[in-house]
Amino acid sequence: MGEIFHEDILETFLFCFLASLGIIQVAAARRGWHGLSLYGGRIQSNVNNALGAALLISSYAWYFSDPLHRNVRNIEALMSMVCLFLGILAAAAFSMLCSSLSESLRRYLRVKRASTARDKGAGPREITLTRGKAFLYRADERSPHLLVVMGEPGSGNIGLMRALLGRLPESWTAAVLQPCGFTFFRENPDPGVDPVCLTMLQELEDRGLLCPKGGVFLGLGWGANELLRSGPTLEKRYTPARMVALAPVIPDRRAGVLGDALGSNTPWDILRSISSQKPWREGAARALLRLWIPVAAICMGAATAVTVSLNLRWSVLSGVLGGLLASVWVGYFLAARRGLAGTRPGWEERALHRLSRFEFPPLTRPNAVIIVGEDSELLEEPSRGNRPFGVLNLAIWKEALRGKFLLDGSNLERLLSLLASGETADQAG
Amino acid sequence: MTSWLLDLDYTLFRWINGLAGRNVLADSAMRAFCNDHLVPFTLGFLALVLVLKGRHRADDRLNLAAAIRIFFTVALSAALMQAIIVFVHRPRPFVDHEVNLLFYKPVDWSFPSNPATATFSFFFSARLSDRRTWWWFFPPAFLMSFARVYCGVHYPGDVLAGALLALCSAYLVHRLDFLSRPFVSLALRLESRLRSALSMRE
Repeated sequence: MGEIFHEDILETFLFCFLASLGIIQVAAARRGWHGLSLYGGRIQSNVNNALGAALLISSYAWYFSDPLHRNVRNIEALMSMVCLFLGILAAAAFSMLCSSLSESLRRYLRVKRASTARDKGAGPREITLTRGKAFLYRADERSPHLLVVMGEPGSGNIGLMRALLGRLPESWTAAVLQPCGFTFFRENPDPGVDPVCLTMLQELEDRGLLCPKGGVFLGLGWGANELLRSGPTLEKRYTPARMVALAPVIPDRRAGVLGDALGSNTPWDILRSISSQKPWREGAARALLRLWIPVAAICMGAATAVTVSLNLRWSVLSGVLGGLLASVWVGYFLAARRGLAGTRPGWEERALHRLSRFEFPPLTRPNAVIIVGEDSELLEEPSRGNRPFGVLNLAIWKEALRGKFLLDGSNLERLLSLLASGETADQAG
Repeated sequence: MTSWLLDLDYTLFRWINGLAGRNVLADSAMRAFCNDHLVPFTLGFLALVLVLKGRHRADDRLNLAAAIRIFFTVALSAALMQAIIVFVHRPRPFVDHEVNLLFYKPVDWSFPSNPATATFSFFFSARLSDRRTWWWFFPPAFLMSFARVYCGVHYPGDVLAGALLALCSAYLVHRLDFLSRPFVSLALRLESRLRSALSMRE
């Protein structure tokens, strides 16, 4: 039987890559996943849908227009599956890379513009504190109004701060707190330790750099949760003129998840954020690595010996990959026997558990909690059991997105008017 | 009994394969579905769609687990099929009979059908994992299996055996949870770490 065997690994891989890229772009449009959109920035559904459909259709048309891919014996089944798997992985990686790069470029240009503008005026004064950093804006001027902003840990929301402070009226000074972490998320939080924002404010006060009494307090994201948590103490110590919690993180108790980082973060942002948390330094992660590394070495060695002895195609590579998969399987059960896997709650489960247990205390001073559109349904569905803000003044900004797009459009103006006068539209139960 | 079954299988084969060559459009469509790449890759892409189709993160987590189980079902059914091929050597229909051959001549054994095993593995695994979209996987699997008989490269019995093998593999993977649990657990942990409320990052 005469056999004709053509093998187009590269073309098959390219076909899988392009078609997967198309599917990912359509999914990014549907879910608003900024982190998987090729051009970064805010998702424009029509563009992503058109791009995705074009990629999908053209990849099929191109691949199957070649007679070698129709009625001829070609690439073997296993290799097809490898091409499919690698194509999907490559398409996901390419989307992530493009979105991260385009967003970095945008950010670079934005920072360049901002620094040019700052050269003309006074920049913030950076203060290093024991548990984070503080930025003081117009701190030397005697202004009647003070805004204290509680940000998220790390350098997460610098862009939002810059946008907000750039539009702040001349009569305002501002202090931005950027903690290096919240006690709330420690594995074993010490109940005796003050919330980090209180400690930072106290330190600024002790050093004579800030007097937050009577100021307006604003919390952003996790900072909003922290603000509400320490609300009664803030009221007692500083008698704030107003407290505004903008986009606090709301747990979805029924589904057991906390938000979705892909909505407004690029994969590079997420990786940077996780690397700053250094999860590999946690005790459990170290113990897991100590267990898994020798298991992986043994499995990869044994699998490679088998593939080489059977003279399989690409024996070393297939042996290493097979051994790696086997090591995950063996390592999991070894770890489960030692209580390191399977039953231990992860970061998200721990945070969810603590957030779910916590009820925000009632506040006596003027306050507002602003919920973004994506979270509003969590409050509306009673089955999800989320009414943690029942005693506070709630406003829902339906069209606002969590994350870096939070102050887009008219949202910045609304926030400024809320900070200045306490007026806000869209009051809701 | 065996010869009766083989006769029935051949009768069915002749009936289905006898349809070939009567209509140019039908023949072209069957050739396309018989293709080694079109349906398997489409099913692979459907698995990707399954992972991404959810409305919320909670859906995504279930779909991710379903996709991992599909992968394991395909791998297990392929391994079982290879084991059967070691013992059962059934020649292709065109070797022993006069057939309407619309496809190239494959050189491996006929029983069980490799494409039917792979495509029905996708279908049965999706059926056991996902209650809403499992039916997406049925038309491609059925059409490819039918086309293999129509084009004269498999007996209906080969296709049926492949589908049964896929069903057993899917059942085993879903019943014996420990086969896929480490990978599902690892994937969900990674997903949780990467996507949980890094709300304000810039």
